[in-house]
Amino acid sequence: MGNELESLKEKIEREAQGIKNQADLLKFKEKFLSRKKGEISLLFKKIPSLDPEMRSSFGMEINRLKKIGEKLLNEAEERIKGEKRSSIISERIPDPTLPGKKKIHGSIHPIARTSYEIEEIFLRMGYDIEEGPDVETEFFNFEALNIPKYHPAREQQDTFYIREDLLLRTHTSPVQIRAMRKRKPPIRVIAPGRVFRRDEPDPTHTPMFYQVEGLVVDKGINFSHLKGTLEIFSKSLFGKLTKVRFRPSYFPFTEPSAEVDISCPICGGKNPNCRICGGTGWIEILGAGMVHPKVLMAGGIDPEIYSGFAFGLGVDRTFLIKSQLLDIRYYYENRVEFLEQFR
Amino acid sequence: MKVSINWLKEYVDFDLGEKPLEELFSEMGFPVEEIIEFGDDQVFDLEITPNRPDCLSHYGIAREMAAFLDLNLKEPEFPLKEENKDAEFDVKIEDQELCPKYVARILEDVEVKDSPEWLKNKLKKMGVQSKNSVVDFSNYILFAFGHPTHVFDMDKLQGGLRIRKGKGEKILCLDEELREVTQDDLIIADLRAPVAIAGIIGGEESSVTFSTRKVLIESAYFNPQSIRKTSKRLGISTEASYRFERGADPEVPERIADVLASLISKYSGAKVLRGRIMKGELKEKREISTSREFIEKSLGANLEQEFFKSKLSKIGCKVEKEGKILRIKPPSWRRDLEIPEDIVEEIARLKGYGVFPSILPSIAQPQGLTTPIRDFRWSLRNLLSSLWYMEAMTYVFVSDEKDKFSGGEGNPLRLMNPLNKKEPLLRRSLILTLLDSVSLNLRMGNKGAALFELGKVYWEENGESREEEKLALIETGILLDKGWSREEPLLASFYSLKGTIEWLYSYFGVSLKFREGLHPLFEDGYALNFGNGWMGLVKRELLDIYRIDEEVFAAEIPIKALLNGKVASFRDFLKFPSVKRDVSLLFSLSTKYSEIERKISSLGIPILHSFFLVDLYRGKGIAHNKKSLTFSFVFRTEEKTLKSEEVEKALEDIVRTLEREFGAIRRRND
Repeated sequence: MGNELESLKEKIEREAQGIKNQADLLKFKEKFLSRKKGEISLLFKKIPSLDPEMRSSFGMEINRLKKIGEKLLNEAEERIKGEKRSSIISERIPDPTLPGKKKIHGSIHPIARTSYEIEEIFLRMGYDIEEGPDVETEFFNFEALNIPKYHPAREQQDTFYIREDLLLRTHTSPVQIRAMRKRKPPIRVIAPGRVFRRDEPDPTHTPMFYQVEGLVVDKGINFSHLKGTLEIFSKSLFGKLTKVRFRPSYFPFTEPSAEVDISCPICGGKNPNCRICGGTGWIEILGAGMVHPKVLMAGGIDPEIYSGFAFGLGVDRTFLIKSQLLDIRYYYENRVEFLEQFR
Repeated sequence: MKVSINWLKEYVDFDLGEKPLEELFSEMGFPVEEIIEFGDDQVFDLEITPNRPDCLSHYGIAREMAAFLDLNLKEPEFPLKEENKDAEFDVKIEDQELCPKYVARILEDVEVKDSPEWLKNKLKKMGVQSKNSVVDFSNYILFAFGHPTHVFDMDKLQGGLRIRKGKGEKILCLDEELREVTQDDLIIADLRAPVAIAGIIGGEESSVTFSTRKVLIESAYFNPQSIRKTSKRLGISTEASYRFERGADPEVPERIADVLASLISKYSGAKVLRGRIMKGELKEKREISTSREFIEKSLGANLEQEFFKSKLSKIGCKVEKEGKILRIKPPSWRRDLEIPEDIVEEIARLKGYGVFPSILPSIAQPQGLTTPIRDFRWSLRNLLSSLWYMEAMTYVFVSDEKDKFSGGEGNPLRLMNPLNKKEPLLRRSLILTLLDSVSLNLRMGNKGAALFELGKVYWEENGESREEEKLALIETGILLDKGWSREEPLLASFYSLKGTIEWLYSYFGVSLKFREGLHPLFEDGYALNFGNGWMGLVKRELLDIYRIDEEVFAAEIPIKALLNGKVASFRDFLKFPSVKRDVSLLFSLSTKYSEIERKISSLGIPILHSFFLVDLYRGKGIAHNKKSLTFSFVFRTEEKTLKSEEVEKALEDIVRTLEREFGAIRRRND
């Protein structure tokens, strides 16, 4: 009897290994485990014909065999499921190293992004945003800013005129006057926007560009506040290690006036042929100064009580420095090859 | 302003290398634009701001350096020997306001020669060609001391000199241009005709040549605004006009006339007649009252008491102290010092901007408010760039020809002085300038482009200028090729653009209704209006102007139309399942979808929750004048699970209505 059991066990194991699919599974189940005709079930029927002392041990052996059969069936079933899934998966993912399917997306203009970065720095310092019109009056663009007719400073900014008294603003500074007339001190505003100058386009000039203007008016505002503010700003925008230098300059609407240079973020002054700083190690980024008393008065603010500082910077130039752009005309040509570089 | 270092050293002693010198000029407020090598000399090209005409000369720069570095300024000597014969000529100023001061000197027996080499050399460094030993010294004086002078061949002057306004006469100038002088221009004339345009350029006829024997030196002070006006009007800028229009030193003409006379007499063997012919007078009393307290408060730093007086004296100011008040008389050459703030700047500059502390102002009421529109622009940027649109920024100038298509409000704003004469108008539609970028992209070999711009349009209404911010979208061609990433290419299309607009409006919760309309930008029959927005297929005629062969789809929406959308209110989740049924119907090709849509909605079937177009089919199996539309109808109710008969009945109603109203035929190929 022992031999019979042993050979059946070997047969079950052998056939379980041969199970390839669902049909094999059913065949196996039918052949060995079916209650009526299964080879194991048939063995149970032999028990009555055995010696009484042999019956219980033989029954236990058959049960063990049945468990083995069931276990092998389960294993085979799992194996087949697994094989089926992997064949489906390998069809869907034939090679994980194939490239991903590209998601198409557009882009945001680098000027918009740069202006945003600048605005955010000042918003966090408590400045509000102001906006003014592109088509300005001669009064707001020049007169109120202490640039009377036939002032040589008008030549520095060649102006697009619509009428004698109406023009495309040459700077965002007229928003200073608008903000002062609209608000009461303490005033802390920045004004981003488009400005226009009658320059033939070349690698460093375009007839339209973007500026951000800043204005602070309060009691006791002094030159050191101007320095402190613009130093923090420059370091926020160009990095903590940036050095900032203030130089005397001239703008009719500020007194004292200053130009602000930062240490070259590209070469740090080490490359004599640096495209960005020209080897000087310094790059001019801002014009600034204490608001001229005449300008405060034009804004309806008493210069005996209040003082202020103002500054302006070119967004185009700022991004040019950061990106080492070669030609600022690219900004307004909008070639896809350009725009897609700055997502 | 070109500055020769060797020349500068004639007036002030210093020993600085190129780098430290560049730093110094920069600190003084005169950044170096260029350094040019000239053998043993270097010429620094300094950028002099318009408020500092006193630094438009070697002597002026030296004076400034002496103040900065506490050096001594060397005064060169120009000995003058006068003849025992009085200088006499009939000179009259007819317009005292435009010419407050006119000084002349007369030299006889002049032997005009070639200039000495040293002088030719100096002028060469200034970029000026040598003429002769008289004219060259007039130029020398300009670059040395900054005051422009003029020399006349006196034998060519008839009867006398009148400083007066022009009368429409013509004058042949030294640059061989014939110019007309008008009521707006100040001129120097003899008793017959103009001989010079005052402070700007001399006349050819009375110029000093090698045959000149008698010279009249002019050293004057002219009104800066008048010079600038004429210089602008005539479109001519000279070394002289550049200095006069910024403001010359009104107290120096006498001395300058003497210096020039001395030099001409020395190098051209001339005899200087006795005395100056002096007309007009200009005495001004400028005085600035300020205090140390005010200056320190403005700068946010305390300074040594001695600093004020010693430094201000160094730049030529006379300083008197009266208690706490400082009474400051600026020197005649510093036209820019007028108010206490100017003194603050001088002190800061002389001290060096770098030494002042850097502190943040304390903020009483920090706010950090942005404007709603600024934040909204960013939502739009983020949304559109997450699709396939790229943000563009374009110039605002368009031609008359293009503007005709704008369909904009009011009249266009026209520039008096456009950069390009063909594009004198400000855009009334962003699409007109975006098309430039589309055209460029196609010419550069791109197969397509999808751009958007946030920008302003401008117009004129009742004499007032207006501007409004708009969003424009434009797309054309193939936006993405088919391939591994995409089974079908992504193509620009009318419906893609329309879908973008629907998506935007739905995102912002703004109701949207399209209507067919006519718009000059778009082909008739292919333009849709929605509120103040428009979209459509861009007119072929317009595309031809831009040389664009592709079809282009574009839309323009006022930004404010998208602001203030509704906040969505909560709808409860579905308690009962919805039922979806697809139906295909044949329609005549001319039947408009919008009419079918309106008809179905008008039935007011309560259980019809929504319906949408699934497919439009034309071609095989369908008559050429027919189209097959497949709709999906979604039925549901809040009260119960719908029975199949209810759904079928509603569907029958819809189909029968469409059959009746549009002659539609249901297709039963399912």
